[in-house]
Order: sequence, then structure tokens, then C-alpha cells
Amino acid sequence: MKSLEKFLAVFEAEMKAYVREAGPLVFMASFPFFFSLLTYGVGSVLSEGQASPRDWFFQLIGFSVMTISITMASATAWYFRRGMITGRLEYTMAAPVNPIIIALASSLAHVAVALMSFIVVGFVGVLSVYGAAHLLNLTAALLLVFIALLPVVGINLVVGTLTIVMKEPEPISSTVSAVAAATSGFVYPITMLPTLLQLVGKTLPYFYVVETARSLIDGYFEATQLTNIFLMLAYLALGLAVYRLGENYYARKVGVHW
Amino acid sequence: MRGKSAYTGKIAAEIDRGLKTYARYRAWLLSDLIQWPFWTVFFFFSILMYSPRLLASQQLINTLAWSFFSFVFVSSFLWAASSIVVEAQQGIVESLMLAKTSMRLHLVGRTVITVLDIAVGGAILLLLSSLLFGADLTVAHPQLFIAAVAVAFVFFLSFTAVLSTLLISVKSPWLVVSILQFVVPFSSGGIPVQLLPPDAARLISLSPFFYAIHPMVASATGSFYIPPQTLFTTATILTALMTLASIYAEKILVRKTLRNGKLAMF
Repeated sequence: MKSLEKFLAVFEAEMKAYVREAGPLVFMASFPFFFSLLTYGVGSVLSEGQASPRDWFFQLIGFSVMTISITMASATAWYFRRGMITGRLEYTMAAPVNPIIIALASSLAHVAVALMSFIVVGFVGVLSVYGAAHLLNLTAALLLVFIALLPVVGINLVVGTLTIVMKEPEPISSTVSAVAAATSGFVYPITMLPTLLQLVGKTLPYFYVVETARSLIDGYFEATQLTNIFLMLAYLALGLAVYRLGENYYARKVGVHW
Repeated sequence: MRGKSAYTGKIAAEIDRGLKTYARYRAWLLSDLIQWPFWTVFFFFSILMYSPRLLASQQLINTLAWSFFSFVFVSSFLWAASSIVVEAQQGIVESLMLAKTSMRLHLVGRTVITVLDIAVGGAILLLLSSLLFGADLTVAHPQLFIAAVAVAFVFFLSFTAVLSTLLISVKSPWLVVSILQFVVPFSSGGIPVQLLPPDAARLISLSPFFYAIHPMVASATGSFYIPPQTLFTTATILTALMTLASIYAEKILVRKTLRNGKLAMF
């Protein structure tokens, strides 16, 4: 019970910090519209008006999940970097709270914020392409996207640990974002890629987040997709293990000062 | 040391700082080598999704390659803006003020990393565009291209300084930069204006960033949306204005900081 209270306290503090930053959050939610409309414009010109609104919706959802992935990786890397600069990370690790609880609570706050932007994008997109009848599908999609994002939290815990080791957040989060963006089928079908890149995409959780979102909104979902999402949860376990390893090594032996 | 020699000395010190930082944190180089091939694939397929037959048009592929190069250019500069925020939190910016060193001059050090990022990332992106998608990398107007890169360099250095002063008051600057690195180039010529619907192209040509980005792309590909003379004159004027804006923004920041003394608090 005490662990739950601690978890909620950290979660609440992180959420408050995000709410204070309403401007960037609005920015985050509007970005997928901006980019997808731009590429749709190019597509319309290139295909001489043959680009369909469904193509736009495909990219809208893709850019939305991509924005979520990029900002989550970036936020985690900077969370650790700022913690190192200010000394907060050492206090966090020395506090009588399991560091895993702190890491999980702040990561889940990122997921919750990401979902808020997904709701805005999904709502407008579904309404304009599919109509109000599909809004119920969006609700189902939200639930599964939440679960599908948990493995991404695992990857971000690895990003955080690597930030501590390398002491530079941007190169690490940008690299993860680039690999995820190119191979996960965010804005083009993964089948367009060479086999090797398709394989990379299918071993990472991002592909399943965007695939789940699209298929549920479209009104179909197969049992294998659910199996894949649960298999991907191994990334969360891996992330927690790597984080624990990094925390043990850096908090107890080396120290995480800047 | 005073006057000109002191200024030169400070610049040399900043360049040395940048080189040392880049050499010390090898993650930068490793990241450049890994991330840019993936971004290249991403950019091309985002457009090819609508029309795979685009690959048949040599001119379009060349334009896309150089337009995507502008993303490397702008993105590398924008990340430099967040470095100032971290330094403000570390108390370094306050020390700079005490030492009467301009923040714009201090940014030169971080710009060394930016330039190295552009050199490595840009080269990878262009080479892969040629290898994977058949882009012809011959620069149509080499002299104009050098001039365009120089103008874009000064423009974005000044813009980075302005952005830094704005980001200092934001608690999560990376959130803004993560998104702005796409918005700025792609709303201003990062996607070739010739490929956009005429109204969208006209709208984009109103962006001041367009005049920093399009000269690079156009002089490399030889395909100008606006006559070169008009383009370069406007680009030079806007760069001068951006430089003035960066000086003004820094003055405001210094004044505000001296009054409130809260720069390192976040």
C-alpha cells in the first residue's frame, strides 16, 4: 500500500510538471496535423489528386505515435540528464523509495500525457475521415495503445541508463527516435522497406503501437496482434532490469554527479 | 587583452571548447553514424508512399535529397539552443554575464558540434540518397551554394540565440526542440515547394525560414522558386534582421536576469 502511495505521489508530481507546460503539449498535439497535411499536399500533387483521405489518416495516426515516441525518448533522456546536473538523481536513488517505483511513475506520467495528445489527434482524425460512428473504436484503441506503449517505457529506461553512462541525452534519444521512425511503419507501410529493416521494425514495440491504433480505429483486430503486444512487454522487463543494473552500479559505485 | 584581440581570443577559446566537447563525448559521432541513414530512409519513404513512381524523376529525387539535407542543417542548429538552457541551469550563463561575454559568442562553441554534426550527418544523408535512391549530387551553382550555406549559417546561429533566450523560461525545452526541428525546415522548404499545391507553396514562401533554406536547396539543384537575385537579397536582409533580433533578445534576457536574478532557478 505504501508503495502505491509513493507511486501516486511521484505520478502526481510529474503530471503537475507537465500541466504547467501546456504550451509545448499543445504544440505536440498539433504537430501530426501539420506534418500529415504537408505530406498529403505533396501526395495530392504527385498523384494528381488521387491521394485519399484515408492515406492522410494513415499518416496522421503515424505522425501522432511518432511524436509520442520521440518526445517520450527525449523526455526520459533529459529527465536523467537534468537529474545529474542538479544532483536530484543521487537524492532520488538515495531516497527510501524503490527507484523502480520512481522510474515507473514518471514514465507512466509520460505515457498518460502522450495519450492526451493521441486523444486530440485521434478524435479530429476519426471524425473527419470515418465519422462519429467510429469514435467508439477510438476508445478501444486508447486502451490498447496504453498497453502497447508500456514496452516503449522499457526502451526509454534503457535510454535513461545510457544517458547516465554517456552523459549526453540528445545523441541517444535521437538515435532511438531515428531507428523507430524509419522502421516502424509510422507514415508508410512497413512492407515498402527492405526485409532487414522490416525485421528491425517488427522486433521493436513501436510498430505494434501504431498497428494496434490503426486497426482498432478501422474496426478490426486479430488475436495475434494481442499476442505480439504481450510479447513486447519483455521490453518493459528488460528496461527495468537494465535500469536496476545502472542504478546499482552508478548509485553505489560510481555516483551520478555531472 | 582588450578589444579585437580579446574578441578573437574568446572565439578561439569557444572553438576549442566545442572541439573538446565533441571529442570527449563520442556518443555524438556514433549517433550521427547510426541515425542519419535511418532518417534518410524515413524522409524518402514518407513521400514515396504517395507515389513510388517519383523515383523515375531524377530532378525530383535530387530536389528531395537536398531538401532533406536542410533538415540535417536546421535540426543540428536547433539542438544547440537547448544547450544554453542546460548551461543556464548549471549557472554557466550567469558566469558568462559576469565575464561580459555574449551568449551569441558562447554559442560558437556549441556550433562547432553543430557543424561537425552537419558535416557527418549531411554527408551520410546525401551519399545514401545517391546510393539508395539514385540522387545526382552534382551542385548546379557551386558559388551560389557556398554563399547560401554561409547565409543560412549566420541566420540559424542568430535564430538559435533567439530561441535560447525563449527556451530558458520553458521547463521542458527538449519537448519544443524535438518538434520544432521538424516544423521549421519542413514548413520552409524542407519539402520542395515545387511539389506542393500552389497555394501551400505561396504560403511557405512567406516564411522567413524559407529564405534561409531555399537558397541552399535551389542553388544545389538549379531549380529556383524565386529569381536568385531576389532570393539572395531577401535572405541577406532577413539574416541581418535575425542577427539584430538575437542581440535584442540577449539584451532583454540580461536585463531581466539582473533584475530578477532567477536564471539558474528552474
